[in-house]
Amino acid sequence: MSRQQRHDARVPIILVVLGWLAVAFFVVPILALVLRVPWSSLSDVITDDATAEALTLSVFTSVITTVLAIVLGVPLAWLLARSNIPGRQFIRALCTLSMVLPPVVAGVALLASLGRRGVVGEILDDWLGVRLPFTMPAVVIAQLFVAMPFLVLTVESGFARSAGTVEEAARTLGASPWYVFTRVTLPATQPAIIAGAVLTWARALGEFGATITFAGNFPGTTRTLPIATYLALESDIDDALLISMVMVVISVVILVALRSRWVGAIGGVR
Amino acid sequence: MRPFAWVLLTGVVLAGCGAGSQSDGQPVVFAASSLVDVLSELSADEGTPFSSVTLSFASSASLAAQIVDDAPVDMFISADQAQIERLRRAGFSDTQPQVVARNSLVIAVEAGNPLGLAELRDLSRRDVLVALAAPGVPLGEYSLGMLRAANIEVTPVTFEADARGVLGKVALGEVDAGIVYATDAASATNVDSVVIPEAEAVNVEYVALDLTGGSGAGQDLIEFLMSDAGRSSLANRGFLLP
Repeated sequence: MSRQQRHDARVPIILVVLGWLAVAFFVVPILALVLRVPWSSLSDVITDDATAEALTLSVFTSVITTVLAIVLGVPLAWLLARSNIPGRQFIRALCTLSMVLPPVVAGVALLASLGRRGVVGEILDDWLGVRLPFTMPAVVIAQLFVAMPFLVLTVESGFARSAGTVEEAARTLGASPWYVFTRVTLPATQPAIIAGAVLTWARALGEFGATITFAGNFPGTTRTLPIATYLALESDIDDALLISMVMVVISVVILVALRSRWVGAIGGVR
Repeated sequence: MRPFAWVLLTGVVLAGCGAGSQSDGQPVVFAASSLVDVLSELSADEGTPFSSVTLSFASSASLAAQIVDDAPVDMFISADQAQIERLRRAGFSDTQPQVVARNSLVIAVEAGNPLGLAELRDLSRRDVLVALAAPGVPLGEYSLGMLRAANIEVTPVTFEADARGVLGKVALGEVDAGIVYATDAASATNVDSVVIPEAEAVNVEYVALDLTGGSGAGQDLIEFLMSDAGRSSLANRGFLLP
């Protein structure tokens, strides 16, 4: 897309108006938040051990979630985009259902499956003595369940868009399927993978409902920043606003940094 | 600016999204989540003034926060005095708060009490997984205060954001026990209550505050709760009367 085209005077005015309305819709609440935040007590909240603990936990778990989402989500996206498995549409719907579920319900679903009395959780407990609820892995599982579909859908459309001709050429030249996948398919899909990973990470960082339902809330183990924010609302709104600002700043810094590192990659535009 | 901040806050308060919209002109009542059953019952009864109100339930603290941020509310019932004090400090002091009901604390256990929990001290057993309400939430303050007064140390696996959260974890069997309001435990399925003598010293008060300045719908609703009909509804649901 050239600069010339972007400044095309024939852009429909209605799109411009609605587009800017959308910008205001997003910017005004954030600005209002920034204005409302009692910045003078920022240092108190940021240096507060409880906030630091929640921040560390949130960053740590959301990064692990993102890595796991790539490891599991890219193969799933490949299955959905390239293979001929029967019932593909149905499988895709099932695997992205957690996006539309209220997160708290997603948490209940996780308890019903992996909880102490869950279908799988009971077996884990009886055979291995493993109990997932109220642990840090439970935080990651909750985030992964809710956030991975963002990566799957983005990468799937990446796989679908990258034409198969180069892969076909590699195959006719004698490359193994794994070689074709790692050396041809993956590099062509890299922008979509990065875009999907960023979306997943952002969703994981903000995850609240599934986490507090499945993993509970305990300082240092399962109390992530969104949960700390919610609980601070109970006692001190100013603290809650400051903690939420920490999240806003981290997200903006990372999103902007990634955007300039891989121009055009975010959002799957190639 | 303030309305915007308020709108945003409601977004942040995912689970507590109970902001009254007042779109249909009905009086709006904000009430502690432990009053869900009794107030819903009253609002389904055409003969009570609650039949024409919009009810919104969440933890008292998040409701108080929304009221401070100008949520349009006619009457607020908090599960503790602290939230009412917070509102009065914020300038909501035209009318006197009134105690409309009391509650008690019990230990909620799985139906049948498989671990045989009998007293508060049992919650400190190593093999017992416990959920407590978080500090800052009324139920959390009551629970932790009771444990402190009894000099019993309990390490819960989770601090839940409200009473229903604690009860849910017990009902699903994910924890063995939790400290909850007696009325919540009584209304829940799959849950039994263990009555504890230490709870007698805990004074759980539901305090109603008229936010219409003493003239409007708020005062009528409070008067109804204190009438014979209101009191018997509360008593039927296991609330203690002031």
